[in-house]
Amino acid sequence: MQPSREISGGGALNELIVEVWRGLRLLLSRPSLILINVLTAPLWLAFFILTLRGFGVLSLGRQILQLFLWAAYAFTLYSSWLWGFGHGLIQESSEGILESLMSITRGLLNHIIGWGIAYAIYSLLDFAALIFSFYIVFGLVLEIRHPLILALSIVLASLELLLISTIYAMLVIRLRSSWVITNIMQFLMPVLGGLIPSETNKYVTLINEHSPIAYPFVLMRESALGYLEIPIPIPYQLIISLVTVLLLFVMTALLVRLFDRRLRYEGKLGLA
Amino acid sequence: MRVSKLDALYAVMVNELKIISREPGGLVLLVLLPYFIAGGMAFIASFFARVTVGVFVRQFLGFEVLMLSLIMVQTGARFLWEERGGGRLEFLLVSPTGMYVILLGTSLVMVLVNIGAFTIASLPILYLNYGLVGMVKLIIALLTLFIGLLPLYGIGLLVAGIIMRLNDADTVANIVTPILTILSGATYPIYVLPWWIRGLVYILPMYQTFYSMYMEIIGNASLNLVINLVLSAIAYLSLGVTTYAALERDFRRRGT
Repeated sequence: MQPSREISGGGALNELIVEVWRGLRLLLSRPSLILINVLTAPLWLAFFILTLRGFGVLSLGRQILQLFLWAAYAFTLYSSWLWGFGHGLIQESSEGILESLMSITRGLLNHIIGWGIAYAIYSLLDFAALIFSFYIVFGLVLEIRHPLILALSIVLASLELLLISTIYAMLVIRLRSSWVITNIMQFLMPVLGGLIPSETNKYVTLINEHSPIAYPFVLMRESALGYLEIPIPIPYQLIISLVTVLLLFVMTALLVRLFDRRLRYEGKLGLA
Repeated sequence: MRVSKLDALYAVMVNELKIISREPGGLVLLVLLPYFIAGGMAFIASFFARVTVGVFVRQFLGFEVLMLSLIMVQTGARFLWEERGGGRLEFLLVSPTGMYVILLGTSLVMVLVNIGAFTIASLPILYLNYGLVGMVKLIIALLTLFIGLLPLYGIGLLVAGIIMRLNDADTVANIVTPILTILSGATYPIYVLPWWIRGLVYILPMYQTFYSMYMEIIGNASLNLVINLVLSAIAYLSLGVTTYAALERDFRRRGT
């Protein structure tokens, strides 16, 4: 494997754009599958609501439904980033694509960020599918009080999940049954990462307040519904989210460098 | 040396079991996942209604039946799809063992693995709720589950035919899975559905399996329900085998 080339600003940007374009083409290459995912989303929502009925929940107010929509979006984000993006990287490694990419590009970080941006754009379709489903099933129209903060929180949440999924993929890449861990993680991580609205329980409020990865998701609900979930002003929450993303970025960059070196010089996958 | 059909079936089953046991994590997941899903749903529901132990047991059972049903439907379809994708289907078609023995062997192993997972997962819940009597009821429920998983394999063969014709496993799976999930009727009261959807729920085997098992566990076992399930198994398996036979004829004639 040849050593990595030095990164120059313009070249790196061009490569990033190529990666984003490549990712988008790949993700949008099967429009029938996308259409089916959008069309079947209301069925999943109906199943979820029917199952709540099985547990004895007879009616849900409009405010609760709005909260459900954001919780469903948070779960979809966690699940699809871990599976689609994280396992996408694992699949690239098992198919030998990573090695080929490393020999023609400047570094893996560029590839990961480019593929991640493409995935973030693609994941907006999940959001559209959810809005469509809630409208079809409940006639619910999405409420957004502060669109700018909402857009920022979605960007921050996507960046956060891009970086977390990358670290996660590098950690589990060598395991034979990494999919088993992902299956469990997709339930555990959202609980620690702001999926559950704070008003449900005082312990949940505590988790949402003290878990740095929860902030973008809490912000999403706060900006959409227009009230504070945790007793911290919105600008501070934005700063905490931003700092978390920056720290995760530094961590990811260092780990990807380590991952890249191990693969390039020792031919070994993963960090361990 | 001539190998009897039974020896061949045994060999296929041992082989399939070895393949499945390569990923013990998957088996652990089969046990844990119903707790995550039923537990998560109970957690959400607890903010709006009182979730009693009895309700949780019923819902847990429903999720178990649903999860195993979906696995069972996918088993035959995935097997045929992967064998064809890997170029092994042609070898299997010309092997003296015969595809029916291979399909039966692989499906029986999946049924046994599913029943094993169900037993391990539901043992603590049933013991805590019903004591030792619950264990006896569990044995009867397991027999019902065995019968209930067979028609689902038949449906799986039917789905395999559609997948092979459309040449797209993901798209078909993404359509069939949510439809079967919502038509399972295993995790919600089906009286809330419109009559024509309720009819579909009654026709499919998931609700019959769940309801029979639930009634057995709470001590209201009904022979009629089990007879319906047996009839269902015969009907769906016949349908699946007939569809598969047509599919195999096509393979042999056209090579695709």
